[in-house]
Amino acid sequence: VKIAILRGVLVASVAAASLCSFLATTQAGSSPESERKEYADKIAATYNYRFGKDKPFLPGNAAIEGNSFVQPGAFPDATYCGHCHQEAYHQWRQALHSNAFRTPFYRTSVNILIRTKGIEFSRHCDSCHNPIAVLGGSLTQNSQVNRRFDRDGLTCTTCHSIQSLQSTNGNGGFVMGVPAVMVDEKGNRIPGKVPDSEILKHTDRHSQAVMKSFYRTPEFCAACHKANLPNTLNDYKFIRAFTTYDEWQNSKFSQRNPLTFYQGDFTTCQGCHMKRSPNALPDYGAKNGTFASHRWLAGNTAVPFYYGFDEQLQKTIEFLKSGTFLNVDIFALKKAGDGKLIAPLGSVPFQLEPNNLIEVLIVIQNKNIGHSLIPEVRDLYEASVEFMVRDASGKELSHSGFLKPDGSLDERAHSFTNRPVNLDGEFVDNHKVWTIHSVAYDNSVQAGRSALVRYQFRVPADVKGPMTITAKVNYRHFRQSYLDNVFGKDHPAYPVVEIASRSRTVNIGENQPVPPAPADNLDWMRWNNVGIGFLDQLQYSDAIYAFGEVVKLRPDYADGYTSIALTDIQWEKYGSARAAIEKALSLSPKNARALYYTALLERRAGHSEAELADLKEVVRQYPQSRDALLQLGISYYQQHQDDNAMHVFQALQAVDPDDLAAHYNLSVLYHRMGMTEKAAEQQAMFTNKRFDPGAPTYSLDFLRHHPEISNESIPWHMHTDLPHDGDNASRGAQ
Amino acid sequence: VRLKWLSIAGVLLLCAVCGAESRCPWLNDATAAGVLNGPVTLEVNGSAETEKMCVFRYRTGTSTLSLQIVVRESRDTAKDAKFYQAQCTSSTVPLRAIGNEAASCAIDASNSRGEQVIGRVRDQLFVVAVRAGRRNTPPVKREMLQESAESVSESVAGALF
Repeated sequence: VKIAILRGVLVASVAAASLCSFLATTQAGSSPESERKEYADKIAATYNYRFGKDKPFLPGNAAIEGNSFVQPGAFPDATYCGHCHQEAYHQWRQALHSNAFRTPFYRTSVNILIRTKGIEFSRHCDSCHNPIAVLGGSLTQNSQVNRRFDRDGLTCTTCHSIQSLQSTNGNGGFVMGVPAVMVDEKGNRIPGKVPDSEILKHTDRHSQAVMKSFYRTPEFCAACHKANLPNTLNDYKFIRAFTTYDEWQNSKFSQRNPLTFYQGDFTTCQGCHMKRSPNALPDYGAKNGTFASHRWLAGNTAVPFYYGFDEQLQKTIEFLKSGTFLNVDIFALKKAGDGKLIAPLGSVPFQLEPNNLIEVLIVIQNKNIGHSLIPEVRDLYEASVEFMVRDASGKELSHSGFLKPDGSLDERAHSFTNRPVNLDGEFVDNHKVWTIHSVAYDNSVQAGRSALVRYQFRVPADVKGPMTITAKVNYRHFRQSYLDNVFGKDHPAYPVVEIASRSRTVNIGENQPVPPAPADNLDWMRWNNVGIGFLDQLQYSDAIYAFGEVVKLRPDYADGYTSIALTDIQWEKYGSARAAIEKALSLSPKNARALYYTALLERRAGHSEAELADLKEVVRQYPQSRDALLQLGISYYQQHQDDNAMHVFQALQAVDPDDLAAHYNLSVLYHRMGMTEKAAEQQAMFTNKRFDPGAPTYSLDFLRHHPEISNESIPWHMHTDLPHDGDNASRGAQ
Repeated sequence: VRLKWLSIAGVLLLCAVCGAESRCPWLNDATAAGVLNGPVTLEVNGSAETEKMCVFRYRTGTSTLSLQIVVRESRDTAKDAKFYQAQCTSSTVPLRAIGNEAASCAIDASNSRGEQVIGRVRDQLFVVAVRAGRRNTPPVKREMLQESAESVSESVAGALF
C-alpha cells in the first residue's frame, strides 16, 4: 500500500511539474511564435535558396503555415504519443511510415542525389520521406540541425499536424501546421507537448487538434502517394512519376469512373491499408475494441525483413496472399496448326497428344487492388509470372519466371515492371529519377483489368501424363539488381511472396470438364477478362469474340454489349459499335458507360445535341469522371460554348491538375476571354507537361540493346523455349 | 634546406586551415552535440583516400565525452575489422539493421569506459566509438554509451549507403 501511495504521489508530482513547465513556456518568457522566428532566422541565414527565397521547400511541394522553418523539436516524438496510444506506437514503429527515411533502400537512392546534385534537391524526396527535415530547414549544405528525428521518418505528429491539402498533385502536397496535441477552449491550437493528464481531461480538444475529417479521404494519401518529377529537379520537364491516387480514382472502388469493366463498393485507400482489427495493447484511439491499422500493410516485405520486424513481415505476407487481390486463370490452350481456342479450360472437353505444340493463355486479373499491379516505383519492384509445366514424374517440361541461382529473375519472365531510361538510352538504375527522360517499357495491370500472358511449349513424344500446368504471380520487394546495388551481392535472399496461383492437370488423351476451384471466376467473367486482355493487346477480333461469349452466357448483361461496342470503336467499326451500344442501352437505358460510348458515336455521326445530352447525363451521374469531363469539355468547345467549356475544363482540372487537354483548352479559352495572365499560366503548364517528341529516341536506343525487353514491350508476345524461324539467337520472351 | 623546411611548414599550415574548415561527412556537429549532450569540438583526420576519421569531443570541467567515427574502404572488411575487434573488452553482440551487418562491444580502459560498434556497408568498414572519462560526474551509464554508439552507427551507415 505504501508503495502504491508513493507511486501515486510521484505520478501526481510529475504531472504537476509537467503542467507547471507547460504553463511556464506558454504563458511567460518566449512564446512559441518567437522561438520559431528565432530558429527560422538562424536557418535562413545560411540556407540554400536555390529555388527562390519564397520557395524554400522546392523541388518538393511540402508547405507549412507561416511559410518559414520550424524547429524539429516542435514535433513531439512518437514515444510521447505512445503513452496513451500503445497499439498505434507499436504498429507504427514497424510500419513503412516510421521507417520512411532511414532504410538502406531509400538512403542508397537519395544519397546519390545528394552526392551528385546537392542536398537541396533531396527536398523533393524528403517532402514525403522526412518532412521534418524539409520543414526544419536541415536540407542545406553544412546544416547544423540535429538529425535525431531521421529514425522516425513520418512520426505521429507529421500526419496528424497536416491542416489542409494543396491539390492532388502529390510530392508532399500538404500544408503542415505547427504541431499541437490540444486546442484551447476557443479552438486555438496549443503548440508542443501538453501533459497527458490535460489531454485525458479534454479528449475532445485533443481530437480536435490531431484529427481532421480529410485524414480519412484518399486525397490525404494522394499528398504523397502520387509524384512527379518537376523541372526544378531534373532540369528537363515535368514527368509524371507515379499515380496511385489517379489509379484508385479510375478504379471501381472510387465509384467516380463510369468506364470500369466491373462495379464495386466504395473503398478508400484507408479501407484496405488501415483496416480495423482488435487491438492487443491499450490505446485510447480504439473504438469498440478495434483500432484502425497503423501498419499500412501493403507490399513492402524488405523493410520488415531488414529490421527483423517479424510481426510486420508476417502480416504483410498475409495481406499480399489474402487471395482476393488477383485472379490467375489458366484460361485456354491452342494447338499449333489448329487455330481453335480450347476455352475456358475446365469447362470444355479436349484432346492432347504427345508432340503437340501447345500455346497456353494465362489471364492475370487485377481483381480487387484499388490501383495498378504494381504501383508506384515499379522500376524497383519485381512482380512476375512464373509458369511451369511438369509431367507425371515431376519432370519439368517448361519453366519461365524462375529465380536463377544468383537470385536474379529469369530475364524471359513476364514481369509487371517498367524500364525508365536516361538521355543515353540506358536503364535508370538505383532509382535516379532525376535522370529519367523516357520510359522504354511499362507493363502494369491497371485496377480491374486483366493481362493476357502467352506461353508455348511442346509436349514431349515420350511424355508421362498427366501434365500439371501452374501459373503464379510472385512478388519481391525489391528487384535483385537493386538489392545488389544497396548491399553488394552478399546479402541474404529477400522474401519472394506468391500472391496468387492456379494449377490445372491435363491428361494426354481425353480431357473432360471438371468442377471449378473455389477461387475461380465464373465462365462469363473468364471470357470477359480474356476479352479485356485481347483488347489491351489490340487483338480486336479476338476481343469481340470473347465479349460475344460473355453475352451468350449472360444475355442480360449490358456491359458485355458495351464492351463489344468500345472494341468496335477502337477498331473504327462504328456501324457494329452502334448496334452493340443500342443493345446495351435497351437493357440499361441510363447506363453511364454505354452513354459515354454512345456520345462518341453521336459525335462521329455529327449529332451534336445527342452527344451533349449523353455526356451531360454521364457527368450528372459521375461528376468526377475524368473521361466524361474531358469529352464534355471538348463537346462544348467544338460547339463554341466557350463559357460552358471553360467550366467543365476547370472541373476536370480540379479532378486531375495535370490533365493536358485541360491545360491546352483552358489556355485557348482564357485567351479568348481576355484573361491573358491565366492563359499564359495554362500555356506554360501545357508546354512543361506535354510529351517530349524526342523521348522515344532514348527508349528506342534502350530497346535496341535489350531484345528481351523489346519483345516484352510489344503488346502481343509469346514466351517460349522454342527457337523462332529466322531468329536463332532468340531465347528471350518472343 | 631552408626552402624545404618552408615548404613543409606551408603544407602543415595549409592542412591546419583545411582541418579547421572540414566537417564530418557522416554526422553533423549538431547531431553529435545531441548525442554527447553538449557543445562539441570536431577533429577530422584523413590519413589516406581510403580512410577518414572524425572525433567529436565534449569537455566540461573534469568530464570528457568523445565520439569517434572511422570509415575505411576495404577489400577485406572482415580482416580489417580484426584490428578494432582486438580493442573489445567484452564479447561482441551482433546488431540488427545497421549497415550490412554490425556488432557492438565494450572498449573500456583505465581512464575511460566506452562502447564501440564495428559495421560494414558494402566494402566500407565503419567503427563508431563513444567514450566517457571515468572521472565524469555523474558517471555515464553504459546503457547510454551503448545507445549512443548504436544510434550514431545507424546514421553513419545510412550516410554510407
